[in-house]
Amino acid sequence: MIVATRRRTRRGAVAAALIGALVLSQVVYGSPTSAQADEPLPSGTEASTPNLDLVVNVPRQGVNDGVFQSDLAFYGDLAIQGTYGGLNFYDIKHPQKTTLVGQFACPGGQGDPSVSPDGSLVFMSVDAARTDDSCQSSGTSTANPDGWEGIRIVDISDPTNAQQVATVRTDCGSHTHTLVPGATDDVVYLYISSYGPNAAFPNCQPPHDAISIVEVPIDDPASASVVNKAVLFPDGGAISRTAGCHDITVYPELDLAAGACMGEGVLMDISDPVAPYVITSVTDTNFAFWHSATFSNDATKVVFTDELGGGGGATCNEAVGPERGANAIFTIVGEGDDRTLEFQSYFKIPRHQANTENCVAHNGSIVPSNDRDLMVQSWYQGGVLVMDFTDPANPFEIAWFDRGALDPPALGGSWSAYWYNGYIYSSDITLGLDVLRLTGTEGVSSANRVKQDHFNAQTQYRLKD
Amino acid sequence: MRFDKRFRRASVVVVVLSAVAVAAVASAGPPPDKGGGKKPKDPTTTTITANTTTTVASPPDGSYNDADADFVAMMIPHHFQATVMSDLAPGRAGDATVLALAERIGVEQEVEIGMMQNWQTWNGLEVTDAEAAYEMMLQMPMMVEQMGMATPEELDALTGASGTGFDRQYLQLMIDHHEGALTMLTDVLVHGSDTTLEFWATDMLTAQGVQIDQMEAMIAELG
Repeated sequence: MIVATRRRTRRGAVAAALIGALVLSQVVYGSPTSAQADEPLPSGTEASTPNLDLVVNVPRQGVNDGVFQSDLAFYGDLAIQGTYGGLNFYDIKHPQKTTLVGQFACPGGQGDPSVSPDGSLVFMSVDAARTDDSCQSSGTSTANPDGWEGIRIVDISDPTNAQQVATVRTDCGSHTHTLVPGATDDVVYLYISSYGPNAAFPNCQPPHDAISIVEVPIDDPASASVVNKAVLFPDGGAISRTAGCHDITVYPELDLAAGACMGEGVLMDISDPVAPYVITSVTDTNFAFWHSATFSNDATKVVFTDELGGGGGATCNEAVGPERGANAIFTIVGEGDDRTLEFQSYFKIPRHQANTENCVAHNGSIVPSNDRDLMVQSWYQGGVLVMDFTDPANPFEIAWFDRGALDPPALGGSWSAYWYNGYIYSSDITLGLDVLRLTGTEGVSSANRVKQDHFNAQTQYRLKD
Repeated sequence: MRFDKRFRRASVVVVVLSAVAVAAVASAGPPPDKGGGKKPKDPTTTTITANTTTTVASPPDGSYNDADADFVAMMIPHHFQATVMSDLAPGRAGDATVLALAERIGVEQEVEIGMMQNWQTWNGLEVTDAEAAYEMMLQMPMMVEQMGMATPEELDALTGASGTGFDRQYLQLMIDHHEGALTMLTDVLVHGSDTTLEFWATDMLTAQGVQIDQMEAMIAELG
């Protein structure tokens, strides 16, 4: 894996050490005013609005030191962090004393995790071809017909001794996946989002208009299997070359799902969880890479994101502007299969970032306020931001936390930032796990009273205090 | 397209392009007024002789190889041409949808140039000067054809066109350009080893595939 410090220049290393010593404790408190919107933070500094505090940072370490940290899931007092090398487990019983309690070494790309509602199993996406499905495998070419990609199933009953107990191969691998509860507690389904079919890739042949649906019996994960390849775009979708989905978020109480698929955002009916179908879809000339979808708490709105530049690009600047690499907020209008998505507005981080900072809309979750629509979200090196979209036509920023550009320059920043039981957890690609607290903000007290026993960002429930 | 892996291995070409690499160290990003990789105002040009990609004795799983490094060095100037063509659209394009797409493609490819230049920096590689490498590439007709790029003559014609004529030429040239990119992307996905770059390549493969379809539909509508 590429590492920020691997080829640090001699001059850069000395400078970084000096600067680091000088500014180690410098915290610049700012307010989200337009006056500072075009001045990126200096490297080595961090800043936030007064209502968003960094409680603690747990640095990247152990077997997952030197690899990128990615997405998060939660069960009880356990935070589960995916990495490009496996998993990290943190005890968050006392969030201000968050502690790494276990690690699992098992490489395979981003390692997008979800946790079963009973906390016994973690599912992990593998979207980089491996020589086999074991944790001892090594990378291989996408052209290798024997290469393996798909879903790992990991027993985390003892987080200090996690064990892979099963794997399921899926077409085009698994870039992300979405846990969908079954009719009973002993079964869950995984919607596998994968994309990028090509004639040269034996395990990812076009057309790829389907999502694989994996059924997992919780008590017998070894018998997990693909039970359907649901073709979402029988007519080829909004464009003829549909190529799968990047991410899907489900809202089981309403049998609804929102999908960020290639070239379009879709709304789906999942009343039969193994046979979802598309109700409506939207395209947008400003959007090319539909990345993810988040429902408002009452599922009347959907926030789609455009990951312009794939997460590696510097899009938070004047040249790219406020409507690209942004959120697009839609309302859901109508009933049943006549529902449509109506565009309301774009929202993008208003503070410009340095051009060595990868920055674009990324993963987030609802802050479950009773009376406001709030969403906390990662913007990579743009930091963590809380957006108010109560009025979907006029969203605005109410809180943020940011660090200056990594020095030496590197891919980094917040991958995912989620609200869980009164705190915001941000998985930082190179800096580990940040725990943040939102205070002094109207509507947050009701959110603080919401308690969840587990959390998967792509499986949304209406949250109430 | 005839672009294939033989081309990727044309190390002579890569070495030539490396000669226009910018000696960027800690600030490889594009200039502050640009989101992408337009030529820095005052680039320091260096001559690169040694291959700087092979200094790690035992690369960790998922790190880059020569196919990745070569791909990025070639894709930066390839992207640059897309920004040149898209910059022509305002004032020339006849159709609002074509103009919007051109603007999106221009921004996207410029962002990706910066991203690929950053990737070079992160990996301690020399950073490719997009415009200089592009100008050099234009002088190599075989390469232009293999990569699906527009020739200098086609660019002149595009510059002189307007209205529906511009739209049709722009769309056709950009379809060919993107098709060339798809071949390069497929190649790096097969031969490369850098996990992050492979994800980006998959995203580019997808986004440009989508855009080809959109452009083919637009051409059909132009009649």
